[in-house]
Amino acid sequence: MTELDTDELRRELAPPWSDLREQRVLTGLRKRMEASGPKEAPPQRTSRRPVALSAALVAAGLAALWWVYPRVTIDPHRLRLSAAAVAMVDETANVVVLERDENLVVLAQQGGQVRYEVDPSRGETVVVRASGVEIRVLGTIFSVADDRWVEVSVERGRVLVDQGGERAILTSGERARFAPVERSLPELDREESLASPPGLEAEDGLRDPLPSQETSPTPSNRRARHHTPIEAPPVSASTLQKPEASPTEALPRIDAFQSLVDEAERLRMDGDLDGAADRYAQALRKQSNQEAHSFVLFSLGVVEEARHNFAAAARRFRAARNNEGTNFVEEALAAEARNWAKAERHEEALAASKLYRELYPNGAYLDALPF
Amino acid sequence: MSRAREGNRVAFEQLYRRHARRIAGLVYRLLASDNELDELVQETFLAAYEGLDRLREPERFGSWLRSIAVHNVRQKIARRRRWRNVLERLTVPTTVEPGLGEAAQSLAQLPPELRMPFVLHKLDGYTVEETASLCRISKATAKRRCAEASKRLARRMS
Repeated sequence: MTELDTDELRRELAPPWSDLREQRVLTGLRKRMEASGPKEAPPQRTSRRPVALSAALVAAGLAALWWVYPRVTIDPHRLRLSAAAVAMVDETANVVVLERDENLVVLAQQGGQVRYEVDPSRGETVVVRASGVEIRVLGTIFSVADDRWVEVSVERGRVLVDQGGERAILTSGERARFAPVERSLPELDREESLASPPGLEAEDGLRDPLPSQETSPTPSNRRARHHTPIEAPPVSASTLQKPEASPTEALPRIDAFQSLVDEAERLRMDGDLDGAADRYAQALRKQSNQEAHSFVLFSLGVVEEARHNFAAAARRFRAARNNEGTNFVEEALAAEARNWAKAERHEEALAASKLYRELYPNGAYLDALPF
Repeated sequence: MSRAREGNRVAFEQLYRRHARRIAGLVYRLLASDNELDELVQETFLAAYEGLDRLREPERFGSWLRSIAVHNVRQKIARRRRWRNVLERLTVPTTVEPGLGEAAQSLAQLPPELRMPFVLHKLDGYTVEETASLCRISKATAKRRCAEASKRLARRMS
């Protein structure tokens, strides 16, 4: 008789549970909690102590800000690339934004050395490409040195490195070198040129970016234009001749939609909300089925709410309800209103609440609306 | 947790968000059924809400909640039995729900006496002692039932 594989069995017995179902059960639970009697503490029990504590925390925060803020210097080499990513760029590096949307920033680095700091709590995926090597950031601090060979060093967190489909995950303290792949540099002369430190938006938005300028060939990109690849597979001509194609289209998809969603669920179970948000965001980019898309948007909204990114959560819920094929507009709209209110975006909260009342005059979430 | 213990519903809802998925998984495996999953998850949290002020060790909320879930499932199975012809249903496969995967169907066909200790010990990581305590059986019986369940499942799934 064959041995029973309990790990396999456990995987197969994942419950048919979803955020939507969770929300619906919660709605019923709320009603039953109310019916079970007023368990809410009397007002005096929410004593002044928490208020005093909050005030003390705010004061401490302000003191910390005062302590830190005057020491913030505007460093022309320190560049904010997106809400989540900051880069320290050396004199010889060029960084170009190839693609940017709400949750994804794709950068191309040519030459030099750049230290990237990516805040995982923003739920943004940052991808750096250097000489044919793609580094997908999973929330971390790492450096990329593009000097004939591409060297990736991870100070903290994890990155996924992909070179022509060969992938490796590097974690804290690890370093790897990759042979470069010859690439043309047309991208460097177009779009948002972040050519070397001048012209970049300085961190904290304290200095306006300089007017857009052409990338002048630095020693490193001159080298890049003429260097011969070493031990590297050539990039196909078709890739090079399609500068208008989305940069992500030319690269292999890292994971299937379902495995990303599964991983997100597993990470949530482990309490890793940042990791879960990252996987959901990746899954969103891989799924064209509207219904599945809506479910992932809803789940991402729930995760963002749990991470206290209330405005991001509200946007996710709104996107979920606006998606074609969504059959849970009511839940998503109520969740959107709640999160706008938590984010203190009162106008949006009011608008979402109003829309909810119009659409669902007898809705299940009327009592939970902020307005 | 402290705010939830004081009766703050919003704080309790956060606890729900954190634990609902795990409770749903446990209940689903114990029942091997999707039919009453929502109801049991809800009842588990309602019982927790009503009994939270009696929880002596708040840091053990998760395991306390799971023990409530196990208790509720046992009650549910007991109630089912009262409605059915008891002896037949103990060994004869229950009606298989459409839509359940092969693993869940195999699990559903085990009698609850075997399924519950197997799920708790082999799938959800409870020790033999904890499993025995939750199922209200001796440790030796818990071990024996786990072994028997494993054997039957392996036969069905091979």
